Amino acid sequence: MNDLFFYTIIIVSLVLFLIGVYGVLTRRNAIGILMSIEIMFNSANINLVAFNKFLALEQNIGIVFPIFIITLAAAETAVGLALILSIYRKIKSVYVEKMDLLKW
Amino acid sequence: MIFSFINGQLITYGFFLLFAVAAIASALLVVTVKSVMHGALFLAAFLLSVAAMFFIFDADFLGIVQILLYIGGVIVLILFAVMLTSRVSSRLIQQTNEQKFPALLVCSFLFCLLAYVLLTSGLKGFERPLAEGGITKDIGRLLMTIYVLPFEVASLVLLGALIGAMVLVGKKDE
Repeated sequence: MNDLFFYTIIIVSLVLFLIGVYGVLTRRNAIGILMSIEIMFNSANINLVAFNKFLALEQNIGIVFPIFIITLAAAETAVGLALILSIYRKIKSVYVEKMDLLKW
Repeated sequence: MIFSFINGQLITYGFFLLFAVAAIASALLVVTVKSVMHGALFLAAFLLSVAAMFFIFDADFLGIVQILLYIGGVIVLILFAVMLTSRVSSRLIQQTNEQKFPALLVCSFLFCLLAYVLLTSGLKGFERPLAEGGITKDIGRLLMTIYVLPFEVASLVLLGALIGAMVLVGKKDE
């Protein structure tokens, strides 16, 4: 029963991660890409918490690490959205194929 | 009793499956739905079901942090950004590119690879007993002893992100 539970959790988080990868690969909108990245972060967090519950670790390390991930994800979102907004101000678009200022 | 064979863990497993299905469905909607605004709202549903999973795995502090920080902070930021750029991201504009088939190919390849690694890893899952005084006490102790350096660095990163975001979007006087 424990094995089944453990493997189901990992498969679920794997599926969520791949949904995030799919979103990053197919979205045109930069905000949509950021949202897909959030999905990938969360699938990693699910995995860490499951490892904390179902594998023998010394302490609750699997709970402390997701806290740092959530903090950094919040910082990443703030900076990413600020970048998108400043790009939007410059080129009046949020679509990634229009962001080709560095291409010659 | 007809329910005598249902033990506590089976009920936990059932609840986990419920929230897993909710999370996968809303994540699929996030990446496929046409309007980005609806995508952001489905992202909120996804984050809420992930928070429910954290509660199921005894990580109650993490679930609360997830709700406060993600749904209270990140989703609001994303909604702001979506609304500020709504002029160019209307429903009529295609929000996905033409790479659907290659992306599906990449995802199925990755799924096969990682599932193979998982099934041949021979990991044994067993439930460890809950720490005395709950997990939250343990987190506080760990954050103030072993992980005090990452904790302080995280606060510096947050400060940098705060100033960086303000510098990037702040109006320059012309």
